[in-house]
Amino acid sequence: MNRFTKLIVFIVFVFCLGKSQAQSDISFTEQANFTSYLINNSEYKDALYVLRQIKESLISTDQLDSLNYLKGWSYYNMKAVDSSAVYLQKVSIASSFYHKSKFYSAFDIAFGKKYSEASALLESISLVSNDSTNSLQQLLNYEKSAMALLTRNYNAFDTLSKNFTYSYFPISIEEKCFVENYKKMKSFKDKSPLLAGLMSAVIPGSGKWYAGNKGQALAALFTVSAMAAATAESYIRGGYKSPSFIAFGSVFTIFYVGNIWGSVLSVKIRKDAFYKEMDRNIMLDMHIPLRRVFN
Amino acid sequence: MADSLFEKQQYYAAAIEYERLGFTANNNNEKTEAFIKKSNCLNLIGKYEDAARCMGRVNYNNLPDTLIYKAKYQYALSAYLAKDFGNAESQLLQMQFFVPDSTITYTALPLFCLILNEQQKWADAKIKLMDYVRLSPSPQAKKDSIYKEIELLYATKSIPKMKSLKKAQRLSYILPGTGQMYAGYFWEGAASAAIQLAALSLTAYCVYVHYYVAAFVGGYSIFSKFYLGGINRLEYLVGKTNYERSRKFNDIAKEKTIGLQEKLD
Repeated sequence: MNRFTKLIVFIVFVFCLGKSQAQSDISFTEQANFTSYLINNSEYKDALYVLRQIKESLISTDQLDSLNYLKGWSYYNMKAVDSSAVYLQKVSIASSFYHKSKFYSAFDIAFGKKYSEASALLESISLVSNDSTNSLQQLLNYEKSAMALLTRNYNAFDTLSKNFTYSYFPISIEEKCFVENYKKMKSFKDKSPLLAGLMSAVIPGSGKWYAGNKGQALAALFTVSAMAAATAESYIRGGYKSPSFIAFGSVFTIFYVGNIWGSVLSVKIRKDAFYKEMDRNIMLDMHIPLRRVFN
Repeated sequence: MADSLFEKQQYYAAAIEYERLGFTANNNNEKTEAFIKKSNCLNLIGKYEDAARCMGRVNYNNLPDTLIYKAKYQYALSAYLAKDFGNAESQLLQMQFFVPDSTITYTALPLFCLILNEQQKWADAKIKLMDYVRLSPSPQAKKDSIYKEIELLYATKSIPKMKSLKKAQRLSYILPGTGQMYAGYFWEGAASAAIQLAALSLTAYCVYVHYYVAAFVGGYSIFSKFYLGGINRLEYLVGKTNYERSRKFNDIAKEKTIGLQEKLD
């Protein structure tokens, strides 16, 4: 290939590249508008299908940010929080979607119980200090305090909650809820599984009463007592070699041991149920303000 | 582009393009047509709920009667395929309300019949099918033979007899196991009755030999578990029998209804 031919090929290549870039700009705007329309109509799967057709290599950095935001937002609406977080985290600081993407991706990650990762992401959010971002500063402080509660870092919550103003509308009610939840969690007393087991060994069901399950405690007391009475009756009437004593004695032993083991477990179940309920409330309170601020 | 994708049987891609046509449409008629086509594509790939949801987005203001008919029919069909029979019936009722001209809407009557069949409203389904034949432009002789076929299909002896849950429960309260037998599960009822009889015998025997606590703990507790458990299970058994019976009839009725439609066409 001589120099002239090479030059012609190069000019044609540059021309085609420029044309395709120009076409992709128009095409991307159209696709983005169409995707936004689909998202507004809750057609998230269709929106993702359209977004997947867009070639990342043919779009500008700004457009790539919009693409990642739209993908992340579609996944978020489909409750696919892992995928949502992946795309929302890719949105750069230059984008107008930056803050929304970062806050929502932190929520997505926290929803997946990766609390340290979510906290690190919140720490990395950069805010410009002016009047319009002061509200974002409050929101950031609020979301960090949510992470402190979720990780049971009460000292961190103490520090962060000192900045609560209770006057910024999107978070004012939830700030109070956080403080309430904090008080509940701090005053929650762990009960001893060993003590529960010992109590049920002495009086069947009393360990479950101690753990807070009063209905189960009465049921256990009734069942084990009935089996004990039947075993005692069989012993008195037929002696320890009688088949009825062996049968009822075996069943009584199973119920008795089960009652002790159940009491030990009920303490753990109670604790898990309490923290699960708290976490659910915190996640809900973490989410609602995001909808208020960014929608 | 959407139509060419449809012809190539790339139905999902076509559905997206029809959606795009709806997005860029200049008026509500074009938009509605695009939604109908999108819904059709989604039905063809088994996404019936998405298809019905798509039709739920149609704005019926100022649409011509023929388009209201097409949109409501498509909505009812998608809802029927998605097994949302209540919604499907509601769409057809709305269609009849908004489009009073039965010469336009009568072709929806076979679908109406199928929807009513699924809701076990067989008497109403028969009326809809009869109306369809009456309103069709076919010759009277052909219609008469089809009337006979419909009468035969919906004859009293052909309509499935549904089991009553209350009756089954009453039977089992009085005589354990008979509720299951009534629901069509004879051997299950017999086994349940035998176990309860054995438990009661054990209770009586324990009382006879003065093992009073054992009589209560061993015999009576087993009896009460099977007695109450058997009654609770009747809800499932009666529901299953009724479902199987109606399914069997509805499958036959569906084939015959489609057959009748073809005969009239």
